[in-house]
Amino acid sequence: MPSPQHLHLAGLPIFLLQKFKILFVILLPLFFVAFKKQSTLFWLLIATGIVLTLQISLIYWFTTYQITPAEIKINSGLWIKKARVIPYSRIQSIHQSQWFFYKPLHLVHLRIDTANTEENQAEANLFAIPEQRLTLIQHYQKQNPKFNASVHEPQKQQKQNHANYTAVKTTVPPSDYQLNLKQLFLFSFTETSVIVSTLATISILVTLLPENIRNQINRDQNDVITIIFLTAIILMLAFSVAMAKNLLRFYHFQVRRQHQNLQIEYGLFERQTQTITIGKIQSVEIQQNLLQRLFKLSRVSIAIAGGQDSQDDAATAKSALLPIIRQDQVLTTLQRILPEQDWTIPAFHYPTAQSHQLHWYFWRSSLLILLPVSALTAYFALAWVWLPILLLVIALSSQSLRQKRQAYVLYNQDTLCLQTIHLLTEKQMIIRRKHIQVLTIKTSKWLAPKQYGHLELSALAGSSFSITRLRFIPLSAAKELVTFYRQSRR
Amino acid sequence: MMNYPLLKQQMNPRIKQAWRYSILITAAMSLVISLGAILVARFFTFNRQLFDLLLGVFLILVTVITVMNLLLIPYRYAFHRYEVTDQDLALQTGYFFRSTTYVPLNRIQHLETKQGPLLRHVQLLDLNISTAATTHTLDGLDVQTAQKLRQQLIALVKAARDDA
Repeated sequence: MPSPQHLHLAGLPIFLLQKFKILFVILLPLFFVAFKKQSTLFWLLIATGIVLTLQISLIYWFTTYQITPAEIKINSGLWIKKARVIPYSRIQSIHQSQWFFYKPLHLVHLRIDTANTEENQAEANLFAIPEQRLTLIQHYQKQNPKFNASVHEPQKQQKQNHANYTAVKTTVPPSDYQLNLKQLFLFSFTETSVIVSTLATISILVTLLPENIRNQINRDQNDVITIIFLTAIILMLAFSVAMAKNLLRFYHFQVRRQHQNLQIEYGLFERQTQTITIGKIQSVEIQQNLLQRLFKLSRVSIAIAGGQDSQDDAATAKSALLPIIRQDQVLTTLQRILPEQDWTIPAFHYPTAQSHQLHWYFWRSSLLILLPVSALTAYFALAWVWLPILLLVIALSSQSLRQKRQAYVLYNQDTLCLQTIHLLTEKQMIIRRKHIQVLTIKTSKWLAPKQYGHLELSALAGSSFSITRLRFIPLSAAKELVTFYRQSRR
Repeated sequence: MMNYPLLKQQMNPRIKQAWRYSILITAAMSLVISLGAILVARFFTFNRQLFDLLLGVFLILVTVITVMNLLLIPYRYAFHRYEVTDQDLALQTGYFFRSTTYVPLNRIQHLETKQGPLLRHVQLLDLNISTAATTHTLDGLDVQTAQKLRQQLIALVKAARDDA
């Protein structure tokens, strides 16, 4: 059995940064205040900082790992020793990242996710290990009986690896999907999150503007050209910030299918590689917001079970598979990347599209909240009344779209595709029956006699679960889905 | 009720007594909080009229909710059901807002029984059923039924896993 290996010291700054991340936000303002006053608090903070740095460095040094043909063992803990054993069969996904300064040293930061839903973090977090150890892990993972690899490595090579951690040489096949700069620009232009971060940057820029410029703007507020010019500059600056952020994150994004694994690579300064076992994918989501619909573009993401370290979107706990792709190429690309699934999705059933009676049901919550808010705003602050009215229009449009577009289709005996609308974004969730965790039908004393109800589908996404809802559908449609779900497995 | 299919199994009728106690204890605690607020208010000078109005509204709400909850116990009981088949476990709750949840047996990760002081008083148990993503509770099972159901579920889960 190989002896326990220490993590490479190059990973210590990243480990320290991660451990201090939350403390920094709290302590930094306190530190500056103490520094200005030259109080004893300043020296106390410095001493605490040194002690914490030493303690964290020791924790880093006392973390060791062993890679055996059956499992990965991680020993950690300064005072309380902790040993964690991860058999290869439990691995859901492997996430590797490589900071620019790791590259010349041939090091990687490795995070391994299992189906453990107890903690919101990866089960194994190895901050700096040599690249060849990762190749060895991947090699042992392929050798695992549960890993249904189509190509088997020769046994002789396994013995050699076990003896001295020699790297297994693998050839890298061409990618099945990649994001070029033009697509990255389109992605930045059409993403809702980019619009949000643009607005955030605008608000920061406005507050950072020097006092004299702000006074100048106030004086010149009748000068339409000045206002348009300044707005254009701020918008361009904000968009550039959002674009730069995406460039750093999604630079040279590529997806590669390798036997039973999906390999996703991205990032400029920190190059990240995520390896996901195909069988661990819980659901696939194709989504399209209003702008993307206009340009006939889509975004595809996948949900996998496990810690949140391998997701690029913590809010939805999903990983981007195809960040931006032409609408007509989605299914053919998915067919190429995930051929075990049939991607010829049949025509949808739209259970609520035709019923005029349902308009009220879909609209009532928005009207109930936003109409009184609009009335109160009109009474107390007439100048701001446009805001709740705008929100009301968006909410009503979103609900109307939801009524018209929410749909479902069952196909291939074991696959369900649900189409829902969330804030004007259309989402299609493709999920196999075995990955649906729980199905719930909801109705009320008043809806039940009219034979309407809601259907909720719970599926695993990261260390939590996601709920997809079809609202105010006929109970017969809900029962059809429950019957599909409850039929005996073959 | 005719348009809404009900599941077969009902809880033990003694659960109604536990619910009644629970509602009354919640109401009593709300009254204690109100009393505390009155005592605190004696030491501070602020808008007494507004305080009295808010306290009045709070007490009326507590009374209305308590009476409503007590009156609705028979309905809550009638719609609180479950059913075990060889494929899944179905749970039903709610009178005004009704919900039926289907949990396939091969999704069940672990089972847990719980008994607080109120349930101990009426000799009943809660059975918690956890999947990888969610947890569901069957409350108000008598000890024998809970143990029998737990054994039945374990056997069915094993059979369902072997079939999958």
